[in-house]
Amino acid sequence: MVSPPETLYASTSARQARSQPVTLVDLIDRVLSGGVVVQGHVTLAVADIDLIDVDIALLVAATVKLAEK
Amino acid sequence: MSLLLYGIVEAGDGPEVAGVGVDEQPLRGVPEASLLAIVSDHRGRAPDPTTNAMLAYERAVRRVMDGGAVLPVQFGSVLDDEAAVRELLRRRRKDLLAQLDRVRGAVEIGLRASWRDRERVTDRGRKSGTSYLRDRLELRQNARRVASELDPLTAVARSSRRALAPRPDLPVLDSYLVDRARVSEFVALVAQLDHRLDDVELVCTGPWPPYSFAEGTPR
Repeated sequence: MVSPPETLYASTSARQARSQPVTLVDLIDRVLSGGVVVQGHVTLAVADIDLIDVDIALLVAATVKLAEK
Repeated sequence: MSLLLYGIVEAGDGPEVAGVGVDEQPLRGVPEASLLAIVSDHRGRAPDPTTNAMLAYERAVRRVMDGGAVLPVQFGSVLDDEAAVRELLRRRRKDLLAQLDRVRGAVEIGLRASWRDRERVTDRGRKSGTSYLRDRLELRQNARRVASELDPLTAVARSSRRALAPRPDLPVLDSYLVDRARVSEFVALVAQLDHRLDDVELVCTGPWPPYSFAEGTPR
């Protein structure tokens, strides 16, 4: 079962807890590899990214509004 | 002081350029040739891709997206000064305007299909070379089958991008560009497909700014 669109960011078919790291991984995938490329190379120092210890709630709240548009 | 780029909008779309971005730096717009680049002041080279920096960047792009069509700029893009930003907008004007037209009124929805039976996937590393290759082939064939089951989604989307079996546990990793008005329809269809597919779990994320539909340097 997938959640209704008003909770789209948290939409997952089984374990709700898993969807939050998934959302953050999706975010990282997109901001690092997507978007308009304006330079030949963007050199990023790879930092330790803690996928669990993040308050993703803010992100979820922000996007609920978008889903309703 | 150099500038960190967040996104590019069409000046006439009237997006809100407010709030702060990475390192709490205020956002502002640099206009040129009917385009507007959203930037903040930044010291030095590209910011470290920490979770906080990426979240701050993503929130800034999302806020702009609330006000109209935006092309996100790849995280970590730093230009020397406003003159360099204006030069970029002038040089790529036609391409950027065409890209903005393609994403206007739409959002990006991510879709992950993962195998429900994770044990089966993670056991595969300990086998002989031949059976490893056979397993890889089988995984890829299964991924193709899952991908074909997701075909109906393309009818509800303007455009899509697909990674087939990017990891052993993920047969399909898709991005769809979906009209805002059709997001509910899209998610409902994903729910139907999730119900129908016994061996994979479908997870939607989004709506995202159109990261996967903003392209690099035109060929």
